[in-house]
Amino acid sequence: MSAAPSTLRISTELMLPGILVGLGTGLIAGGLAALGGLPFAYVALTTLALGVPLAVMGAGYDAILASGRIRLGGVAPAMLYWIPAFPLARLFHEVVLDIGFGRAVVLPEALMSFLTFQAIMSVGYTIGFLWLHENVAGLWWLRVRDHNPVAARYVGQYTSQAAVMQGSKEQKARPNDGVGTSKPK
Amino acid sequence: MGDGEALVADVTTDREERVWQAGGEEPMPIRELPDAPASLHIVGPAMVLVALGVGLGETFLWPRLVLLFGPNIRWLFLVGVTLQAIVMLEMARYAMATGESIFFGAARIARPIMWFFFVIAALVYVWPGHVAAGALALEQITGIPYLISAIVGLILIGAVFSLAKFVYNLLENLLTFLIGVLVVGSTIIAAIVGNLADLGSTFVGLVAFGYFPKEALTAAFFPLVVGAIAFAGPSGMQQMWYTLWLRDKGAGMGVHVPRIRGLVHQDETETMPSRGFMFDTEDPEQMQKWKNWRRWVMFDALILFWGITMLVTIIYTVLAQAAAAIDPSVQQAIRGGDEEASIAAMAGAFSQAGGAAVGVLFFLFIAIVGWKGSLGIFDAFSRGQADMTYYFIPGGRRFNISQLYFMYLWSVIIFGILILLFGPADGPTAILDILAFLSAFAMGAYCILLILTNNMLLPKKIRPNIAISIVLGFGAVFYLGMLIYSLVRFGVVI
Repeated sequence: MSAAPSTLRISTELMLPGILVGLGTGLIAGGLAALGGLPFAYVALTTLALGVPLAVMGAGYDAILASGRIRLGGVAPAMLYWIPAFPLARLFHEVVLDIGFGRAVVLPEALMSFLTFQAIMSVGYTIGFLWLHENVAGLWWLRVRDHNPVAARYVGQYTSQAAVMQGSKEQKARPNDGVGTSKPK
Repeated sequence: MGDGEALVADVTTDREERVWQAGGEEPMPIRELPDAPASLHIVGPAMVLVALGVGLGETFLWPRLVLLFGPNIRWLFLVGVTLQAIVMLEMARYAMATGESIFFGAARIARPIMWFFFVIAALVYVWPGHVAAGALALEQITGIPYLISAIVGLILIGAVFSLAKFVYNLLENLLTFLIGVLVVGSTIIAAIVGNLADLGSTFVGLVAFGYFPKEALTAAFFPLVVGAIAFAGPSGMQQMWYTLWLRDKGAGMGVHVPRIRGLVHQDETETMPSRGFMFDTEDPEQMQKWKNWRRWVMFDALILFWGITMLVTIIYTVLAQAAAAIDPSVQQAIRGGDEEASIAAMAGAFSQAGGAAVGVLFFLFIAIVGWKGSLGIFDAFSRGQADMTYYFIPGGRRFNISQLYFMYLWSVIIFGILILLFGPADGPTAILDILAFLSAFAMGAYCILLILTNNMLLPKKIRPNIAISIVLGFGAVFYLGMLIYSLVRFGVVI
């Protein structure tokens, strides 16, 4: 009999999809910086300064999801989460670039206007984040559900939807058989 | 259920069963409506429609109009997308109530209407314009000649669908992933290069109803405006194909109709019924389920479809404004209307602002938009044509619907490759222009079709209200009127 997995392991597993999407966003920006022929320092800073804060916040999203406070796949709760989180990540990105390139750290001139703009852009990030998250997380939770009760709960929620949308379709897809589906009078 | 209800002898079960007589085709047997799913909305047929609909209209045509006429022209976009959201709800009404495609609905009204769409699809959607435009952008980043990547892209589309177990599931996963990367990436670029002032003017422009500069009413620009409106949200027949995805996903009565399987899983294909089904609208329990399904699709139409289409266009408009502010030559290139030059100029401007990476990223997204455009369109085209062939071309039922689907899919891929190799020398942009004209025409036509199908073929209790029919009528006038005005007044189509 194997020992029950530690709380740390369970939590890490649950936060992995959010971390991956955050890091992935940083990697997209950094990878393309490399493709664009920019110096290594720029590539590394862009990857990390965007990827790390977005990964940390992605993990935060998963933690709240696991606590059951927000609905799986829900757009509105995710949006409420990213409206403050995304601007903070972008601010961190700007500051780290300044430090990295030896410039004086100046917060963007009109800070409020910067943060407001980033907050609006966060709506776009939310949608992209959710789509990628659903893609990554669905497969991952299936993998860890045997020892991870929260992942098992997620899989259960997905399965019940799939049963409605597809499972029953498989059974009902026998046209003209009249098995229990018609109401002849 | 009303006038259309009847009792007929069911030869397969040797008993009488209730049917719904709708139009001129075989009546629909009464079956049970399944429960609507819990709201894990972020992935579904609406997402496929959004992913397909977000294309060159949002990323190029509308940003271009904003640079030409200012942000106030965007009220037309608001009207166009809102109209499309209502069309989407009505397409879903027919598909979820019957499990039939809207093409079958057209045949129930009169078969020539269905053949009209069959021919339009064959004329419009066989061209590889999207994948070629995407491949051109890829050439800018990698130096790989566009012809090679476009042909590889086309073959890849055929291969992935052929190997999939269920084609729809793969389509949904692929498009979700691509659009996810696209939205995340574009947001990051816009967040780096854009500013609040540009965004503010874009928002204000959305409600500047009635603004129409004199210049937009000239022969040079009016057709451009018409084309951009036709490309606001899903263009052409994409909304009609949405009914096929709903059916394949099992939404509403679509649950009673089998799915399209990949080429290597043909042996498991179930028999396709010869028509759709109807549920008992006199049963309160069934009507409650219907209301839940309407709520399900309403969320899709308003939040996913309307919201995201708006969002992506706003992001790309902010990008175009930022590019023009950084480098005035962008404005000239976009004004000139050469899409390839404009994309290059915008990418150049972003490289100046955010480093070369941002320019490269921009090219990459244009490449993704192009490839996923062809991926989605070829799938949808093959679905629609296979559906009509199976039901209405004599001998069509010798094949199963999945086989027909793959016949069309591979035909269109091979045709695309031939066109790329030997086709029109003036490049993909020209193909997209022809497509825009026929798209607008099909859109006007399906608005009329929806008024007919949903008011004549469905039981009274689930028909749309009069306001919806009026909006659809306005849609028909909007699309066809602009097209005819452009033709008569300026002698030019789009």
